[in-house]
Amino acid sequence: MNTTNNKRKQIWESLHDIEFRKQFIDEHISVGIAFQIRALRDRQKLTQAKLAELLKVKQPLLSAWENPNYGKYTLKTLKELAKAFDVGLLVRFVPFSTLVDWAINLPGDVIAPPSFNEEEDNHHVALATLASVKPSPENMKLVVTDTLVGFVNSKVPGTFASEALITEELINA
Amino acid sequence: MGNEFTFYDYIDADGDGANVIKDWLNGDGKDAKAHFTNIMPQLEVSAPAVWRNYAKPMKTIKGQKWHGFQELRKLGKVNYRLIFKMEGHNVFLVACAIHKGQNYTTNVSPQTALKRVAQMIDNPAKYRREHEYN
Repeated sequence: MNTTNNKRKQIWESLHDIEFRKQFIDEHISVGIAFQIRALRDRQKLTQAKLAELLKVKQPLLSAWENPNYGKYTLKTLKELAKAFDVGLLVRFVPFSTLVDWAINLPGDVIAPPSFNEEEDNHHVALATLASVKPSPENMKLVVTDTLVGFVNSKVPGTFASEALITEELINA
Repeated sequence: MGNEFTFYDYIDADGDGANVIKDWLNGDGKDAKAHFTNIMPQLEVSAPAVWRNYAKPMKTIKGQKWHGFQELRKLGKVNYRLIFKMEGHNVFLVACAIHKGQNYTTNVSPQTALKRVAQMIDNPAKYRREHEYN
């Protein structure tokens, strides 16, 4: 079985060829970005037409961006896409070993990362707080409140439950 | 997320024992190797709906019908194609092609490609190997 480690070793072997190395840089971006746009659009339930409208571009151009043979992305385009999806964007020089890892180690959240609001909804902040606080009744109340605020906001689109409101509900419960 | 699909290369076990896909990617298809090296791991973890975007059905080429086969494409001044047949979640890479203008060259006929698929299914230990990236 070709494990991730085997794939890593095999690609590393191919990287000894400088022409392959140069092409690998191009293709990692061309293929990776095309798949990410498609996957992010799926995750956020956006049609090509809707995303094109958000970005003020024509749909055929967006369709081209989802084609791994396109390969002509500009930094401006990538920044606009990141803003439209409400996700971060990293443009960094890295060692080839990192590039290889990103090419073959592809969990869902790497291909289509959660938007800012989705991260909030998933209680990442509250869970991090939970891991760092010492257990005490007052601390637990804060953590539960944070978690409930995140939960209510994730389940009721268009609303924003406040900490005060949740606390009041807790006291009344 | 685990792999949903697995790519397999055809091994010419009755000939010189070579991995014909790997050999092509290191020979005539060398300029497309980095493209396919990046696209295959993406497809392995992709849902079937995503495959429809990137894997295109093969059509008739020079009068030969490639019914049931699909291809991955690296397009440019010269077009490179990896030809495969899917059986469930197994993806059998059996042929390669280069297409420039009206010139289309494949290394095997559709009949040979079909025979290769059957061999890879019937005798996996002998005729197939999980795709090799080197």
